[in-house]
Amino acid sequence: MALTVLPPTQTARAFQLRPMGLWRPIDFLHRRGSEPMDASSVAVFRIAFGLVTLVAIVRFFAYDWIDQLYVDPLHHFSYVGFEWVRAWPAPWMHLHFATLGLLSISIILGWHARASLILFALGFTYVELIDKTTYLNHYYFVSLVALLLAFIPHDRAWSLDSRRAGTLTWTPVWTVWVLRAQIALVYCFAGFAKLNHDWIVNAAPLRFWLPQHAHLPVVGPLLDETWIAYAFSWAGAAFDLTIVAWMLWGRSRLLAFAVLIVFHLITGQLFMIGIFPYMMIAASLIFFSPDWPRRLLSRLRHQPMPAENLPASRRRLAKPSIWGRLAVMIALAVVAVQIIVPLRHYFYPGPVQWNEEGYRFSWRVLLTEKVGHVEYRVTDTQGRSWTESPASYLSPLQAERMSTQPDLILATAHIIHDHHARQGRQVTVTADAFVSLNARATHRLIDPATDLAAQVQGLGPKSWLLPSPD
Amino acid sequence: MATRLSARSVRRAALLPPLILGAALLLAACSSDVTRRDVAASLTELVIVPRYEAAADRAEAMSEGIRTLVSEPTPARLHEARDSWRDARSAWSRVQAYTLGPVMELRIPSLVSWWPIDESKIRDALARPSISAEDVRDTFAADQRGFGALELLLFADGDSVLSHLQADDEAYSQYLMALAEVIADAVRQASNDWSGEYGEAFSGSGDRAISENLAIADLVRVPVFLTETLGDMQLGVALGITKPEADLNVIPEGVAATGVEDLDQSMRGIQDTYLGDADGLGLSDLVAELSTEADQRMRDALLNAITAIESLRETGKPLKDLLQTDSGLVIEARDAIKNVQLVLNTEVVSLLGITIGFSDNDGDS
Repeated sequence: MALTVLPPTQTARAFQLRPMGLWRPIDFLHRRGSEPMDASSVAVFRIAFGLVTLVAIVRFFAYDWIDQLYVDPLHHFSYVGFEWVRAWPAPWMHLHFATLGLLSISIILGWHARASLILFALGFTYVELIDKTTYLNHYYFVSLVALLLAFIPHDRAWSLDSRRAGTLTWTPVWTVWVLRAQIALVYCFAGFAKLNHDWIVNAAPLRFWLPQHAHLPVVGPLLDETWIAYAFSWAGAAFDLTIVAWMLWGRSRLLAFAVLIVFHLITGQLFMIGIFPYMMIAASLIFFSPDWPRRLLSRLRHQPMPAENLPASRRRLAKPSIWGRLAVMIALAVVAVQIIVPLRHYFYPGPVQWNEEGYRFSWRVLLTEKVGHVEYRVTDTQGRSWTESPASYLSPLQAERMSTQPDLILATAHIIHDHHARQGRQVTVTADAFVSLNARATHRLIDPATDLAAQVQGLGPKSWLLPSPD
Repeated sequence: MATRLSARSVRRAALLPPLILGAALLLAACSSDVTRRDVAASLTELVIVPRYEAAADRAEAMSEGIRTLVSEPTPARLHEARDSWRDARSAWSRVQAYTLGPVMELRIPSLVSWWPIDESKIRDALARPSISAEDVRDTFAADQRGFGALELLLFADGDSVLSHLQADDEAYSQYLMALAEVIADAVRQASNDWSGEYGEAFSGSGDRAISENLAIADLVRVPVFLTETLGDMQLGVALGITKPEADLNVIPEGVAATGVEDLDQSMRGIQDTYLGDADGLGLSDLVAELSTEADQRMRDALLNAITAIESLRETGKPLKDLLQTDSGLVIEARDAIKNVQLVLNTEVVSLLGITIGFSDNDGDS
């Protein structure tokens, strides 16, 4: 829908026509959000974010993931609507990541930080959009935080930009609340997702994952015990669901942060989740008092805390401007979208763990053990029929990831169809796709009679998916 | 009014977590759960090492039998030599389910069991003035050696091998002996490594101990690959299921017609790994601890596959003939082998937390 831009006076009148009562919550949020506060915790958040993303970028080079994930594969699985996003050819993809690394350094230093954050958000999101098989919740989180940081005043303390521009050491309180809300969404949805039968009643998948670490010294034998899997499952769900509340409450914050560190370090040790634990530990510092970095510095230097250099409270300021109200509404809309997106799987029939419709971007972290096995049956117009393995067309990582995800199984069928079409053969492509979810008996995932090559790739429910056996 | 905890209470409370942890560890230490290390060690000691030793013994017996045949080229000796070849090949097929470690590092399959062979290159080699084991090992191509090449010379053209040997065909007799010697040396080498340093490492002892997770992963990965080879790359292609055109040449079966026996021994090798020795442990012990249903499904799948192959054996026909005359039976056997692959590759892999393919990425979903 096209937006009609009204002259400022007309816009103001339009807003004033509504009863003032409707604006009260908006104005309240605006007033409270405009309260000044120390900018140092947001600055620390920016620096920590830059450090963690720098490490993430370095790991892409160190583990040769740029070639393996983006350059070498012959095909990529595009997101619907983003089919135009393509990986750069070899040297340029490396250069792209090198640029992201430089942007991370720029973010850490606070040098042209806003531009750096915008470019980083665009550049990192571009990488994530290349191939669905590389989707990770924490990379989605990186993109979101980079975008948020780009639009909040993050560089008023401890940045080269602030040195250049002056010594504005305060920032409005909404900056902190926006970041806290983002982190809270991650934890809460991760916690809600764990409230399912498998996690709570069967301790699955931790029951299968933890024994893999039974060789660890001291705690190893514990991890082989079934009851410890239950303890981990329930504690994990309780942690995700309540940690934000504990971090918000001043009295419990320090202990909660200690638990948070232990929780993330343990999960980081037990599971291959890369930067995720460190990202969440660093990000959770934002729940502390906004001036905690200055307090800590003063304590370390054995100096008294300098007096706060904050402007007078804005609480008594006149009612917010139209743009202020718009800003609050946009912020609320962003939060609303972030709540709706993880819940969109309710619009699809069947359990999300089985059909994976609405699984991504939903903070369903370390939730299921799902293994699949797919073979395609190709039939030409002469009636000849043979099977083909997805491994013939995809990288090993892609072949493994696609075997459990219906949209990727469909996309691979199209890849196979297009391959034969290029050779002048018209074929139908059906799939023998089997999945074991949380180590249950293997079941067919897809109707083996459906010609997948004739199915449209999109966001709608997939009629050719067979129902979950449970 | 807020009440403050006394310092003594705080100290007592602080003691609680370590006490709970200590009690839990004690409880865990007293439990009798089977560990991955136990399974890897038991399979090494009671299954893999004895099977490799049997394969090496039989390969050496074959080599000896062929030397005897060369020195005494009679129909009785030829019969014995051929039997020893069958025994050695059967024993080698049995260890295919644990073709890992030194076997792969030393490229032993390329010395022992390469397929397809190149008959014209083998016949060209017979034109050489002399052939030694070193020639076969170091200068011959993989498709000129191994059980396949030996089968061609030992079984081809009825009893013509006797004519060659009785006519003092030096190249023929040297090639026969060299092929058998290379096979015997290679299999003995694999056996010695498993009995020695590699076996120790695989069991988790010694300076170069292999992690128990890696050991268990290997014990699942190789059978998955083996079932894929048998089901897709051999039977699937020969039946025209995995390729548009059927191609019988991919079946590693020569005139000795051991195709069904190869299938049978390969699947029994997988069963050895899964069930373990009667007095020891197998992958089944780990799977059953997590899901008795999945364990039963795996056992059933293996039994079905072995039974289906037994049906092929009962016909008394070579596999290549069966593929043309009784393809329905072969399809049943292939389906059963594929089902073993499916259950291994999904449920067993899930329960044991094994990544079959390359998956070097930070997963969190």
